[in-house]
Amino acid sequence: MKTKIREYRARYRLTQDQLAKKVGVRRETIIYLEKGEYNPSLKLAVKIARELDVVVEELFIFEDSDFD
Amino acid sequence: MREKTKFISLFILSMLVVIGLTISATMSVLNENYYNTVLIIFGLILFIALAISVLSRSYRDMKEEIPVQDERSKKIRLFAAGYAYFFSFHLWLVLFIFHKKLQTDDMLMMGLLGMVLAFGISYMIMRNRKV
Repeated sequence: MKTKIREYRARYRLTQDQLAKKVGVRRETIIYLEKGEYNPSLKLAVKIARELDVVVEELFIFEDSDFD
Repeated sequence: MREKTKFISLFILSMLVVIGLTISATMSVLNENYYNTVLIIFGLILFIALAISVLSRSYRDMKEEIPVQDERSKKIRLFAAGYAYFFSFHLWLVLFIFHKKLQTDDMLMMGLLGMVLAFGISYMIMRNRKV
C-alpha cells in the first residue's frame, strides 16, 4: 500500500506532529502510515482524509498484490 | 490528565518494583544464596534500564500532550502479547521438564523473568514491523 499523506500534508504545511494531534494519534502512527507500513482503521483513514480535504481513495493507493 | 496519571502510575509502580527487588536481593545475601542474588541484581538492572526508557518517554508525552494510546499502539501491544504468551507457554513447559533439577525459587524466577523478557522483546520487534 502506498499513501499520499506526505504530499497532501505538505500542501497544507502541516507537520507530522500537527496532523497527528488533529486526528488524535501518536506521531509514530503518521510516520508508519506515510511509509505504507501501517494499515489504518477505516475510521482513522476517513479522519485523515477529511483533515486533508481529500477522498480516502486518493490518499491510500492499493496495488493488486496488496489483496493477496 | 490521562498522560499525567499514566506517568505518575508508572513512576510509583517502578519505585515499588525497585524497592521490592532490592529487599529481595538483600534477603538473598543475608541467606547466603548468592546465585539468587546475582539473578535478582541482573533483573533489577534490566528493569531500571527499561523503566528509565519508559518513564522518559512517558514524561515527554505528558509534556507534549501526546495521546497515551492510539489504534496502532494498541494493535502492537496485542500482537506482542500474543507472541509473548506463545513463547512463555513453551518456556514454562521446558522449566517443568527440568523441575527436578531446579529449586522452586529459581524456576519461578526464570519463568517470570522469561515472561517479562518475552513481552519486552516481542513489543520491540512488533513496533518496527508492518501491522
